[in-house]
Amino acid sequence: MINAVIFVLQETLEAALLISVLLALSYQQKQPIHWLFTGLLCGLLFSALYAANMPTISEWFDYVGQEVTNASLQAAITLFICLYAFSLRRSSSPSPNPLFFITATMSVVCAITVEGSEIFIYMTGFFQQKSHLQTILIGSSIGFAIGLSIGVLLFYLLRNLNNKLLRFSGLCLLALFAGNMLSQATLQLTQADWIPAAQAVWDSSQWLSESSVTGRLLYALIGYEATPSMAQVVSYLLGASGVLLFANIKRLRNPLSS
Amino acid sequence: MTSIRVFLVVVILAVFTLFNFIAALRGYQSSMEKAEQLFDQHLLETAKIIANIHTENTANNIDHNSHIAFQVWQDGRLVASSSNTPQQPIAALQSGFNYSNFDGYRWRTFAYRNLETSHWVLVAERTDLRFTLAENVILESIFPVLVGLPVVGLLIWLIVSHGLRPLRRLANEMGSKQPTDLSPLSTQAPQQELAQIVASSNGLLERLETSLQREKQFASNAAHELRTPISTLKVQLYNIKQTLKQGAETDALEATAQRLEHIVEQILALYKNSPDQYNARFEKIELSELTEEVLAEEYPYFDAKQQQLEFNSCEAHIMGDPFALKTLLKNLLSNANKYTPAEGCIKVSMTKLEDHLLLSIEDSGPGIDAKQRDRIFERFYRIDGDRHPSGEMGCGLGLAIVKHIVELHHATIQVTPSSFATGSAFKVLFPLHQPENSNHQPGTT
Repeated sequence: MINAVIFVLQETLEAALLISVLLALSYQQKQPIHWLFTGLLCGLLFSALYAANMPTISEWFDYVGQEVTNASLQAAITLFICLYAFSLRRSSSPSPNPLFFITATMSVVCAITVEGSEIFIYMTGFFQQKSHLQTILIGSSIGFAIGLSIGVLLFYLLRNLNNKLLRFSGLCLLALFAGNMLSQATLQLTQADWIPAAQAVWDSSQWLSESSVTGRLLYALIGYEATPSMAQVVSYLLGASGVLLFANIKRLRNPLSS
Repeated sequence: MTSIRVFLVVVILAVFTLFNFIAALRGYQSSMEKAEQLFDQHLLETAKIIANIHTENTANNIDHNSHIAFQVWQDGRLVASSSNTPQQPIAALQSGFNYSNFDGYRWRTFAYRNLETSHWVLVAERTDLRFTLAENVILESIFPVLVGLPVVGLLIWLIVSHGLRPLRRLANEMGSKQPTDLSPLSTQAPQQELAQIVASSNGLLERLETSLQREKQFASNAAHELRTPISTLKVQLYNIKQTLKQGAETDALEATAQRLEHIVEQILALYKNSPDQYNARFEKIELSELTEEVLAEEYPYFDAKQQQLEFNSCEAHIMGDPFALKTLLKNLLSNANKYTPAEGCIKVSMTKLEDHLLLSIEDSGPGIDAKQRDRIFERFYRIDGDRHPSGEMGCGLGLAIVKHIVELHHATIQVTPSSFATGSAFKVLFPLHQPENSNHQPGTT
C-alpha cells in the first residue's frame, strides 16, 4: 500500500503544486479561472487517451516512444510556464489577458496528461490482479488526498501573501517546477539513449536516498536527484532561470517601468 | 468575492485529511513492523514445539499450498519434514531468522537447535501471505478513515455554517436597514467576536445620526435664515423701484434677487427630496386630480405666453407623497413653460398600462439633443451652461430634484422627442397602487 501511496502522491503533488501556484497568481492578476476547468477536463481526457494508446506509442522511435513523448510534454510544460511568466502583469488588471489564459491552460493540460497517464497505467495494471485491488485503491486514494490537501494548503498560503510576495514566491515555485520538468525530460531522453549517459556530478544518496519517502517527495516538489548527470543539472538551471528571465523580460527591456 | 465558509471548510478538511492520513500511514508502518515481530514470535514457538515432538515421519498433511513448512535435521540427515519442502535444508543451519526461496515462493525462516537431542529444526512461513494477512488487518482500521472523509466534510460544512450564523444574521440586519434607519443594531447576546463589531457599528450609527440631525437642523435654519433676508431684500427693492421710478437698474436687481430666491428654494428642495433624507409620507393618490391642481396653479404662466395646454387624464391611483409629487409636476411643467416659445403647445397626458401609470409631459420647444438627455438630470447641469438659447432663468437643479422624487417613488423617467414637430417628452412611469382584491375599471376624463 505504501508504494501506491507514494506513487500517486508523487504524481498528484506535481500537478497540485503547479495548479495551486497558477490559481493563486490568477487571483492576484484578477484574471478569470476558466483555464483551470478547461485544463483539467482536457488533461484528464488526454491522459486517458495517452494511457490507452501507450502500447502503440512506446513502439515509436525504435521502442522509446514513451520516453520521447514524456520528454516532449515535459519540455512543453517548461516552455508554457516561461510564456506564462512573461504574460504576468506587474499590476493586476481585470482586462482580458489571452496569453495568460492559453499558457495556464496548456501547462495544466500537459502536466495532467503526463502525471495522469502514469496513474492510469499504474491503476490499470492492478485492475488485472483483483487480490491487490482494494489495497491499491486505498493507497491511491490516500496518496491523492494527501497531494490534494498539500495543494489546497499551498494555494491558501500563497493567497494570504501580499501581492509582491505572492508574485515572488509564485515565480520561484514555478521556476523550480520548470527546472524539475526540464531535468526529468533530460533524464527520459537519456533513458531513450537520445542523450549520452554521463557520470553523476554528485552523489548525495548517502544523506538522502532517491528511493526513500522523503527523497521521492522532494523529487516531486523540487526535482531532487541523488545522482544527477551534468545534462540534468544544466537543464534544471536552464528551466528555472528561463522562468525568471521571461518574468522580468519586460522590465529588462524598459528599466523605468515599475 | 471569497467566502469565509468555503475557506474554512476547505482548509479544515485539507488539514484534517493531511494529518489524519499521515498518522494513518505512520500507524500502518508501525503496525506492519509489530505484525512482523508477532509472526516471527509465532515462527519461533512453532519451531520449539516441533523440536519437542519426536517424530521421524514426513508431515503429508502439510500440502504445497500451506503457508508454513518445516524440516528436522540430525547429523546432516533429514529426519522429518513437511511435504512442501525440498530435500536440502530450507535455511542455513545457524540459529536465528533469515529469508530463503523454495517451492516458488519467498519464505521467512527460523533455525532452532535443540541441544538435548542435537536436532536442527527449520521452520518457514511464506512472506507474501504474512504480508497480506498483516496488511488486511491493518487496512480494516484505515478503511473507515477513508470512507468517513465525506462524512467529516459534511459535518465540517454544517458546523462552520452554524458557527457563521450570527455573522450572517448581523449582515442581514445591516443589509435590511432602510437608508433613513439609524437605530442601533440588536445587541442580544452577541458572540464575543461580534460584540466589538456591533459596538463599533452602533457607535458609528450614533455619530451618523447626530451628524444628520445637525445637518437637518442646519438646513432648516438655513432655509429660514436665507429666505428672510431675500424677502426683505425684495421688499426693499420694490420700495426703491417705487421711489426712483427708474426701471433698468432696479429691474436687473430684482431679477437677480428673484434668481437668488429660486436657487435657495431649489437647493432646499433638492436636499428635502433626496431619497436618503426624505421622510416620505406615502398615501394613495389620484394623480390626475393632483395634476389638475398643479396645472391650475401654474396656468397663469402658460397664459402669459399664450401657450396651448392640452390635458388627457385617466383615473388611476398610485402610492406617493403629495408634496413631493407636486414638486415633480411643478418642475416639469415649469420647464415645459420656460422652454416652449410663445404660442407653442404643451401636452400633459396620463395612460394606464397593465400595472403602471405613464405620465407624459410634452412640449414643442427646441428639444434636447440625444447626447444631452442623460446629463440633464445631473445637479447644476444646464444645456450650453448659462448661454442657454432660451435665456430663461435657471440653476440646473429642477431635473435633479425630479430624478430624486422619481427614485423615491420607485418610478422611472425617460426623455424622448415629443409628438410635436420639435420638442421633448418627459415620461414618468409610476407603479400603480395594487390594493388587495382590487377590481377597479380604468376611466378617462
